[in-house]
Amino acid sequence: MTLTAAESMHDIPGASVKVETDLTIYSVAEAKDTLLGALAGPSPISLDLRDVAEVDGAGIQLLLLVAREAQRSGKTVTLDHIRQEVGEVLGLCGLGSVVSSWPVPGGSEAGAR
Amino acid sequence: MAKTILIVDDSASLRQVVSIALKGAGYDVIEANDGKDALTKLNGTKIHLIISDVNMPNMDGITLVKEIKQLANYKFTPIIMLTTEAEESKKQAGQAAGAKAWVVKPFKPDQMLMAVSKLVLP
Amino acid sequence: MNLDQALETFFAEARELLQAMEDALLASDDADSAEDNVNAIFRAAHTIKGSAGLFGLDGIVAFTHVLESVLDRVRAGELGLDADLTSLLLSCRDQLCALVELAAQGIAEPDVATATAGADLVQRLSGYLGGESVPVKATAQVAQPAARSDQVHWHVSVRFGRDTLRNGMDPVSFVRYLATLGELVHVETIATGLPEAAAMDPETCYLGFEIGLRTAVTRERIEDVFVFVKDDCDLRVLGPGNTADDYVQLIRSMPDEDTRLGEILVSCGSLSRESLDLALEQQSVAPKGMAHPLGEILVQRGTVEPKVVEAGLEKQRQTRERRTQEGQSVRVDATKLDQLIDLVGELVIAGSSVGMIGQKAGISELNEAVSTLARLVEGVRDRALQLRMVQIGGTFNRFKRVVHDVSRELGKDIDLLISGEDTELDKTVVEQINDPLTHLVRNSIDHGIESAAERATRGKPAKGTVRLNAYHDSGNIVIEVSDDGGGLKRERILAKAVERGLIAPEQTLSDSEVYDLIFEPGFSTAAAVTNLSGRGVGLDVVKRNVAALRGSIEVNSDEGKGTSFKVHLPLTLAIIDGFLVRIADSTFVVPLDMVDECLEMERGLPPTGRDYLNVRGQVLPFVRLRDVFGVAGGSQLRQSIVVVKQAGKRFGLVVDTLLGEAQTVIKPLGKMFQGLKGISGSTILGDGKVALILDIPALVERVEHGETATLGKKDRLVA
Repeated sequence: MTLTAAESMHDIPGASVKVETDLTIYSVAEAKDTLLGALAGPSPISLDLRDVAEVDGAGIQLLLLVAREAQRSGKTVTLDHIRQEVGEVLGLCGLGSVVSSWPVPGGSEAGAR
Repeated sequence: MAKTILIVDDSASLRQVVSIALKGAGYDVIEANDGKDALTKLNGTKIHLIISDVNMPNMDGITLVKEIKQLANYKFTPIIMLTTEAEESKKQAGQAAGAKAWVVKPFKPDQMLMAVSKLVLP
Repeated sequence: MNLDQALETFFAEARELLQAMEDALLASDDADSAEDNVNAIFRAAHTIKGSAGLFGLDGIVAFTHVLESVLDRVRAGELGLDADLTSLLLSCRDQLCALVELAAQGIAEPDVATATAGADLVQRLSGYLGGESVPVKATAQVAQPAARSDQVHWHVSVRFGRDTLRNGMDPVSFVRYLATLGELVHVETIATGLPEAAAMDPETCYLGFEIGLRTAVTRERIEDVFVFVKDDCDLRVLGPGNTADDYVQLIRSMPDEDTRLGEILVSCGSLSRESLDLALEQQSVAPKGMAHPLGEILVQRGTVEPKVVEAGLEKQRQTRERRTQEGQSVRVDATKLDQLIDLVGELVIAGSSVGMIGQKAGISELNEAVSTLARLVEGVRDRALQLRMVQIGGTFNRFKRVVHDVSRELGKDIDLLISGEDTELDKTVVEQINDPLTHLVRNSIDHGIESAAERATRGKPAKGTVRLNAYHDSGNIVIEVSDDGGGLKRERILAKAVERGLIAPEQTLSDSEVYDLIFEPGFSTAAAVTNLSGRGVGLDVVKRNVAALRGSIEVNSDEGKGTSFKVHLPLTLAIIDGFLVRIADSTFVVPLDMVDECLEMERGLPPTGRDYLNVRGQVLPFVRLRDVFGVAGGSQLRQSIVVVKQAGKRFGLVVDTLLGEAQTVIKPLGKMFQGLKGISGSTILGDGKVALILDIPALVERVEHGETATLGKKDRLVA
């Protein structure tokens, strides 16, 4: 997985990292290092999940780890461009409201409930 | 997107009945008649669940599970073993190899559907 | 395609069955084969219904279900197969044909005409069901949220095992499935198990969920959702039937999470805030306000050590071990066991009857066969009785609570030590020994163990000890209740006994005789009457209860060091090896394990009034059963003495004739005779005669008190 640092579309001064593979048990080993690596960027860090079609329990716990580490280093992480399938899983895990409480840039296809 | 299930059993009629039940519930189904055949079916297709009999010619279910655990793209696929009441030792061997779910034969299609739904919903 | 092949097989099969059904219906007025015909009709409907279910042809299943219900009544003879019903059934058969052919053409929904005809037929069939409702069993049971009105609130708490993900199980899939069973009120993902980032293995599962669920399904069904991970996860399902305490326990079982978990339970709607506050107050943990921002919550969760998970794993290991043990045993209904024991009892009686006949006939081959048979019957008896054996551990463990409660009540600090918990004894005995044991344990705590101050002056540890021990001792089981308390005070007991008029002041008694006085009715040695001893129940009740189990009780004491009660009990209550004796025409049974020896009284007995003998230089008190039971007649010239041993003491029973050993099935005495002293039961002998079983402890008691010699007719034990 590669993380693309891009300029924010919404003038939020911070790093935007595009996650390019699914967040499932098959990919989390690889994703762990890159996601944690993304935390090195300036806050707020936006994780762009538009290419993430699938997330499972392994992905959920990895996202929770990333969020915890960000909090510890005083940074904010947002999940952006969440696809419906991913939003449904987050909602199922009781993280839906949390997701929507994070800034989700307009035009996102977030299906967060 | 429908989830895909691979059903491995040497009995064609069993495969047929299970397929009908699973397809009726909205799953995609791929069939294989033994362990060897199953491995050839795991050729890059995304498989969400594998249902496998224990006793089969060419390659039995336990060996199949061990093989699957070696495949990078399939090793985390949930596997439901089909056992009979008398095959407690095989069930344990299957679990040790990594197939933690099982359905006891004979089963009704809805029992199979229920077991499958716990692991993967269509 | 293969799928169609299976379906084709079904259609071909259905057509055949429907043809057979038609043939049978048309031949139904043939009286000779009426039953066969009805069976053929029923079988056809039954098989079609079953196969159609397998293929999910619900329309056919629903229709066939009603048809089958009517046919079931015909088969049971509740309905006659008259011309009207036959023609209706023929119409139904045609309807089934139509449904099958439609399905064969791949048409799932029947056309209006067929559907209307079907509804009409169902209505007519229902007329034969006498208003009885015919619920159609659904074949596919996936994702059927039940009616809201029946829904109740459940709380599901689950922590997954480390290998869950690696085994291909996605924790989220179980939540997803739970959602199909009802309504997820609230889900909290628990990630407190997440270790430091560097140590976190993304393929290891650290997840758990706290879930509030509204559903109409049963607890079993909810637990069954996790059946494939049950060996590796920590699952708790709380719902109707669980109290707030259970939730509090759940919170406490996860010590590192408790503040947070409490809040989660409230969010899940599983626990009211009042109950939570109360619980938290109890453990003096100030509830924190609801933590809103996710980040904070995550930090709280993340900083928690994975101790909880480790503890959970240990717990699961234990559970697994227990489960393995359970797998090796079979649960049997106790009634079935009792029936078996009853039958074995009858077998024993029948066996000894054959033995008697054999002896009379004097056929050596028969006698040989009988003795083989007797040995086998004995084996069967022993095995059967073993089936009733249960370990006493369960009973012992219940005393932990008794000791805890009673010692708190009395303000004493007391330890309970348990040993011999795997000793087995008869289920009935176990059930009935509970009360006497409770009494002894309470007695030890109340009267035995001294106050802490007293213990200190004696140089004993402040914490008192009560021991429960069980072991087998030659065909008996011994249960010991002992304490390291003050012991029995001989002088105080004597003084009290004199005061109560139990003994004369000048009487000299051995230590054990003195100690036995505490089993006298209304005896209490405690200086201060406590709440416990004030219950009006003394050790005499214990003695009576133990005696009712054909047991005995003895007490040993070392003043200043402690007291020990030993309860001797028979292994079983159902069958005993008996020793038969005769007095005049009556036969009595002495339990063989109590018989020490037998003496022939060639020179006759001492005169009435002197009821003791010199046996090898020792005094042997005896009792004349003839007098005790008021038996008249028969020769008294050559009498014998059966020496019995009871609680370490020897006594003689004077009888007319010794008959020898026999297995004896104990039949309890009828209600009328239950108060009878000296008799513990009856048995049926091989020749069909009834013999009474002697209650040795009761007889011995009489001898000890020297009452037998002065028994007048009205005082006889058996009138």
